[in-house]
Amino acid sequence: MGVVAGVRDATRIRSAWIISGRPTAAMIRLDLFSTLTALAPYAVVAVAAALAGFVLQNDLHRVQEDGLLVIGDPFAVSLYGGVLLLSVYLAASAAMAVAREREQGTVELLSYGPVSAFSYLLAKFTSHVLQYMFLVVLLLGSYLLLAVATGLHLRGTTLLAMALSIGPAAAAAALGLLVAALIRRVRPTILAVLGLALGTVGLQVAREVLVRLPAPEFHVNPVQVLRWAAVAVSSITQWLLPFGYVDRELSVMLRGDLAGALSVTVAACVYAAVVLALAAAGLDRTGIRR
Amino acid sequence: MTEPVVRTEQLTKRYDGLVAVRDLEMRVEPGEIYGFLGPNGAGKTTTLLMVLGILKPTAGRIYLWGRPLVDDSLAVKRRIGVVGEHDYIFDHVTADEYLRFFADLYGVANPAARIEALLDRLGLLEFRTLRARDFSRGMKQKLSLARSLLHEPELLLLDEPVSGLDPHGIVDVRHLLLELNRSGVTIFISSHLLSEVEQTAHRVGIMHRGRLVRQDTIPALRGMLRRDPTLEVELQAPVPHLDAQLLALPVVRQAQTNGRRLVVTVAPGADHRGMISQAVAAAGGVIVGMHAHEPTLEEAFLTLTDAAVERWVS
Repeated sequence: MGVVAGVRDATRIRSAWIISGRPTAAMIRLDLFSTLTALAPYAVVAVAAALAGFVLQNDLHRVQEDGLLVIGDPFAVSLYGGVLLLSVYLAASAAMAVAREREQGTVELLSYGPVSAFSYLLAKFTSHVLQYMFLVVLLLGSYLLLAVATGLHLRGTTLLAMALSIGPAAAAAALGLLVAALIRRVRPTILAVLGLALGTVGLQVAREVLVRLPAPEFHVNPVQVLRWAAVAVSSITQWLLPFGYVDRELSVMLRGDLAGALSVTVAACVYAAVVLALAAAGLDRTGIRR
Repeated sequence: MTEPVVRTEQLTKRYDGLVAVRDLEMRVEPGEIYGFLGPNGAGKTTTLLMVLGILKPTAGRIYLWGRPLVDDSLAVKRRIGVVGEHDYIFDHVTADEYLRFFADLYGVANPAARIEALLDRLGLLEFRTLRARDFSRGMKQKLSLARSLLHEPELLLLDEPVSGLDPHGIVDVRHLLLELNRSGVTIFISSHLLSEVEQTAHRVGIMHRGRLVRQDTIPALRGMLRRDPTLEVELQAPVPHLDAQLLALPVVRQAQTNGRRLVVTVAPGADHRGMISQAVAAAGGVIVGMHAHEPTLEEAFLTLTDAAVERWVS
C-alpha cells in the first residue's frame, strides 16, 4: 500500500515537474542568459563599489586629519548604499522585464504553451534573485579588494548581512513584478518603482531629520505634528515596501543580532511570496495581451 | 463516437458594449483542416485567443478533446501548436537558440535533431545561426511555424499562417500542412486568404460581425451558390449576333459575347457543351477553348457575408 502511494506521489511530482517546473526552469535559464550578458547589472555593481571606495577614502582622510576615527564597522555605510542600490535596481529590472515583454507580445507567445501567469512570474522572480546573488558576490569581491587596499577589516557581520540581504532583495523583485503586473506600459512602470523607492528613502530621511529637530514651543507644534506623521507613515511603509526590510535587516545584523536579522529575512521572504501571488493574480486580471 | 477536438457552446465575448463574438457554436473534428474565415474584425482572433485560454469569454463554454478548457489547461496546451497573428520572436537570440528555448519549454526529446529537421523542412537550416532580428518577415513566419511544430502537436492553431510569405513559401507551407494533416494532425486555420484556405481546408466556418454565419464543407458551400451552369467559351475571332443565335436554343438561358469571349448560361441536368459547339460552328465561329465555371469559395464568402450584413441591417 505504502509502495503504491509512494509511486503515485512520485508520478504526481514528475507530472508537476513536466507541466510547470520544466517550463519555469527553461524561462529562468533564458532570463539569466539575457540579464547576465547585459551591461546594466555590472554598471550597478561598479557604482556600488565606487560608492564604497568614496566612503572609505573619506574615512581614511578623516583619520589622517584627526588622528582618530571611532567607527563600528567601516563598511556599514557602503553596505547600506550598495544593498539599497542593488535592491532598487532589482525591482526596476524585474518590473521593466515584465512590462517590456508584455508590450512586445512575449508573454502572450509564452502563454500559447504550458506557461501560466504564475509560472512566468515565478521564473522572472527566481532569475532576478539568482542575479542578485551573483551581483552580491561581485560586490563582496570589490569590498574584499577595498579591505586589502585600505587595510580595513571586513567583519563577519558584514558578510552575514550581505548574505541575509537576499530576503529583502527578493521582496524588492516581487514588488517590481507586482507593479509591472498592474501597470501595462514600460515607462509608467519604471517611474512607479523608482517613485516607491525614492519615496521610502525620502520618508526615512525626513523622519530622521524631524526626530533630531528641536520642537518650538507653540500651542500647536507643527514640528511635532510632522514628526508624528512621518513616524506613522514610515512605520507602515517599513512593512509595506521592501526597501524598509533592507534597512531593518542591515541595521539589526550590523548590531550583531543574528536572530533578529534572520527574522527580518524570513519576514521579507513571506512578503515576497504574498506579493508574488498578488502579482500573478494581477497579471491574470489585467491580461497578458499587449 | 469521437469527441470534436474543439467545440464551443454559446461562446460570447463583449468588450465595453461591443460584441466581438456572439453565441459561437463551432466544432472542429479530429483529423480535419478547418478554415476559419472572416473579414477583418469578424472575431476570428478573439475566438482563437479564447480557445487558447488567453482571453476569458464573457459567456459560453469551450471544450478541447471533450474536456472543458478550464480543466488542466496547461496539460492541454502541450497538445497544441500555435502560430499567432503577430508572433514576437526574441531578437537577441539566434534561430537555433530560439527553438532550443521552446524545445526546453515543452520538454522535447532529442531537441537538436528535431530542430535541425524542422529548420531543414522549412528551408531555414542555413540561417540557424543568424539572429532572429535579421530575419525577413517570411522567414520569421516560418520560424514561428517551426516553433509551433517542435513538440509534435495534435492540434495546430494558425492565425494567418502564410501572411508575409512569398509564393514559394506559401506552396512550401501548404504542402507541409497537408503532410501534417495526412499524419493525423488536426489543423485550424484562421485567415482571410480565401484561395489558400480553399486549397487546404476540408470544412470552413465563416465569421461575420462576431457571428458564425455558416459552417460546412467547401463543396457544400459552393453547392449553396449553385446556379445554372455557366460555360466560358473562347473564340478564334468575334462572331456577329452569336448571342442572339444561341438564345434561340431551348437549353440556353443567357448568352453574352464580349469580343472573342462568350459566356453562356445553360439549363442544369445535362452536358450541353456539344450542342453549344455545334451552334457556334453553325454561326461560323471557331472555338479555341471552353470550360465550365465553378462557384469559388470567394463567391460563397461574399454572398454569405453580404447576406449577413443585409440581415443585420434589416
